[in-house]
Amino acid sequence: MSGGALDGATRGGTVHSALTPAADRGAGQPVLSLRDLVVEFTTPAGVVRAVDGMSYDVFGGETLSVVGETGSGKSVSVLAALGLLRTPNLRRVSGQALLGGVDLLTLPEVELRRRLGRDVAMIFQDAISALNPVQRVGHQIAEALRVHDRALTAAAARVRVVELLDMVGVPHADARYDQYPHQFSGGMCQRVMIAMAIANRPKVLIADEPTTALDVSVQAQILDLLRVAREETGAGVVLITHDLGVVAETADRVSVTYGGRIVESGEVTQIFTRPRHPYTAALLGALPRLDTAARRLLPIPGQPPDPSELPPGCAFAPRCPISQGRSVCTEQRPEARPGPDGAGVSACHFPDEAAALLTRADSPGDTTASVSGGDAAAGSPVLDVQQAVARFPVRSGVLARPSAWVHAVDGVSLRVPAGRTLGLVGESGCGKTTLARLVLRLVEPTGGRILVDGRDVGAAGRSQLRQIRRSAQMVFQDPYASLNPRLSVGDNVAEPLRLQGLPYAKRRSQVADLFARVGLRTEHADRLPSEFSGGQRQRVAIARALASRPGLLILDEPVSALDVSVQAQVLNLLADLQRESAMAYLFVSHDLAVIRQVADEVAVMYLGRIVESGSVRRVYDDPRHPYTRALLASVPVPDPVGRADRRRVPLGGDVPSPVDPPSGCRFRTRCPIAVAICAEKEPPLRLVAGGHTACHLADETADLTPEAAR
Amino acid sequence: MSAAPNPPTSAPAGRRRLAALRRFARSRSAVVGAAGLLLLVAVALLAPLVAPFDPAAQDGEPLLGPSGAHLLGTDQLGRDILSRLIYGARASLIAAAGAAAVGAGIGVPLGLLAGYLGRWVDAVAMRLVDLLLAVPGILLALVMIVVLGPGRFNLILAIGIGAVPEFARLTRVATLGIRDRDFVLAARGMGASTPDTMLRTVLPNVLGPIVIQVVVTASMAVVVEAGLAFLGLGTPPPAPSWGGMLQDARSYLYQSPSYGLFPGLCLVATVFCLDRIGRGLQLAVSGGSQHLGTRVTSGGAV
Repeated sequence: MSGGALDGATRGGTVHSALTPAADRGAGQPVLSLRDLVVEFTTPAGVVRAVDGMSYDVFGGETLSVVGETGSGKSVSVLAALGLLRTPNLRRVSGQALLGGVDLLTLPEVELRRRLGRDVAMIFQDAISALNPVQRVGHQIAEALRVHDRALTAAAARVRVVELLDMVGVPHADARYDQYPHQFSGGMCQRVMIAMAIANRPKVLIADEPTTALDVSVQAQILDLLRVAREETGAGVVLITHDLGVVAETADRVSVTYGGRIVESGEVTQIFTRPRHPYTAALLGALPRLDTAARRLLPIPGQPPDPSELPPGCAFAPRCPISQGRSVCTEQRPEARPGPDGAGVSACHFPDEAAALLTRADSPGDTTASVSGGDAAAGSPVLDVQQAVARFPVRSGVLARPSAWVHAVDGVSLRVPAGRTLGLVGESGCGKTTLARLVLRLVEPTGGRILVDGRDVGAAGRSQLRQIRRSAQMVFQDPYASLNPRLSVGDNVAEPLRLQGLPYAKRRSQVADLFARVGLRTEHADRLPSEFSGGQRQRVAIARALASRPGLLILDEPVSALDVSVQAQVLNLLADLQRESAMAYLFVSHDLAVIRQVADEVAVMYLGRIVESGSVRRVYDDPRHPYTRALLASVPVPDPVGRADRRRVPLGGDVPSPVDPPSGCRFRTRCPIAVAICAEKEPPLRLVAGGHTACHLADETADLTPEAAR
Repeated sequence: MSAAPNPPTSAPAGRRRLAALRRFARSRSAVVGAAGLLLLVAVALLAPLVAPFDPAAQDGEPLLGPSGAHLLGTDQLGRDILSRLIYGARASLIAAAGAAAVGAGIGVPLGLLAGYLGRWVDAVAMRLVDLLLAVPGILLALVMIVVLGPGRFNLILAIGIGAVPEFARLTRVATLGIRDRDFVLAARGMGASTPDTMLRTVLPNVLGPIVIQVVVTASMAVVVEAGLAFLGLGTPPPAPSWGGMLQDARSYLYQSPSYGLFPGLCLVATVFCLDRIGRGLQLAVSGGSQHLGTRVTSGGAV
């Protein structure tokens, strides 16, 4: 985003909003308020109460963040309130959804439709599929305008739409008016969605996970834009998210959902510093932090509740650290009560004990997970990647010769010694998954050498490759896709053993051992994967990877499909397993906080190249590459205190196409400090301050902030 | 380490099968179809016990209408129609099962290889299938029988080969759909060989639509078999078959109108039963795995 107008507006907006956090709301009425909303579905398993008496208010000009894990009812409640829930198994929606004093649930269809898009507008998670692919982008926004204002002429609408596109930071708005959604990147599509949402100056803006599908650098841009949109329209914003970092950066008030209810709500600082519900406190303890050195995470035990069989008492009681043994928690459902100072509302019988959980989480009593072993450099590395290259041809026809090449991985070198973890970070499309697959030759390498335990993967024959694949195992991102759905979980885990020719009885006993190691119950070995939740399936996938006793685990985004509380369980499990068996991990992730939690060494990838690598401390505390710095600055920090003072300089633009990477330094097109030499010469990865950085200016910029460099 | 996770408890394997059965039973007509087919199979198996007469014995008056002695009457040679229908069911069912087995036996491996290996294997296999598709099924069967000579085995082969393209294409599409899924990649990453991955990982996951296609093919085969027999290309004359009976009845339409009615009704009932079973299976399969396509191409009957 090099068009400076919005940049200025964004930064100005940040300061402004920070100065007046919802100061002007006390006077007026809430623009949207939900009262005792109940949503029920009929399923084969019985009636499921997805939303169980949810109430919240949103005032004009403020951002209310509704935060919760998968299945906590946060999205369903809003969809139901707006009458957008149309599944045939919807059983009932009751309660009230007051929009400016009018109950939307009782309105006739026609009336409701007139208000949707005019008074309330929604921004969806997947912007690319929320736009009509066969209609010009400009027309779609114009339609949103004209459907509510019949008097508007086409020409006037066009002028207004171009204005809107300009405002949300779409460059060359007039030209892009006539383009189709597929010509826009994901971030640009989200901008278009926001333009469409604010077109009619709605009173309420509902953003349902607006940045979940986006990369961190783009996420930062969109969050800023949402802030601008709120100020521009004066709307109340409901931001539905699972990401506590996003909440801390943007929200004025927070409502935490669990098991279809709101368990706590309050001002954002109060929620993060003095939570009054144990679930909130536990969530904060389970979150990997970018800003603090690695400590052991405190996972929430157990699984999120099954909405078809909610317990009679507090839904959180079975997992709660402070309810242990107290009968009132399991028998009586706690009502939402405001705190003594009138600040936060908490649905807990013992709200004053919750804050204590936070301090316990911070206490140094827990041993750190990754004890930095002194013998790291000793011995040959388990994985040694030397100048690996992977290119894919782009063909225009079936028989045509490749017209171009996608440089997915372009000369990457890595070493992972036994017992250590190398974290590989990068945005989507940077080639990190391709690199992970190269190691097992699931993708054919185009060049370079990859050695696993000293054996060359690229040159290996059929049987040798099979041996290599036994000693290096992979855990995939999506546990719903990586297990064979037709085999029981026990058989899934036993697959590597079967391939080694182990007899059935031996396989059974080994599977039982593996199940015990990853914390699964042996009795469940005969069940199909579909009967397990995401976290449990990921345990099964890990057990399967461990079956052949590998020396190297390749973890391709192993926790990004999981909820925070479950993610912490899996991360701790991985740390324990590494300590027990001294496996080497290649941990691929886009999540910088997770990488900081698990890794000893970090490599940052951009467009198929490694731009910076080194120890965790070096890369996170003293980043020398402008890309690393921009990434670190883009990650939302789950701490609202001092967010106004934090320098947030979102990286402009999108990642360039890997088909035709920029000349010289690949990052120069988005780099805030690029100079002439960057376009001419490709910077080599060289030793800078104890780590490796591929930047011409790595030495000079050591003490410069990106802003000053501008 | 956190507490052991606990999904709901109850006997898993049996429950799983029960769930599929329940989905099947959701369609009432599927249950009716299954019951009808079971009855038909039982009658065909127990034909010597059930049939009141020897199907070849010419011991009655020719062309009698339904009566107490001969429930459905007699044909032009005085043979009992009911007994001939019962024995004829054998020919129809064997043709149906055989043709489906031949079609699946050739088509599924072909589609699996084409879909999983891709590249030139795919090209060769699919051109072969295109070649078969270029000739109408009934014509193909006709030519094959003329060349190979009539007979039960050749009949099955002829109908079965006509069904190969559908099986091959269906399997190929389903295979393509899951070939790049993570669990297939995971199997390769574990060191599984290509044949092992195809048989153990891919095949079970594409079986759903194939099972439905088997039933559809069987019902198609019943009709084609009758058609060929009607043209005199089925099992040679003394053996009873529904198509052959229809052909005989055609000549005596005015003398004994009820003669042709019964074999026709039998055909309709059989095809109906198979069709309903196919529908029920579709429900059962789609409930099990929503991700896999359950597209089924129904064979063009005569």
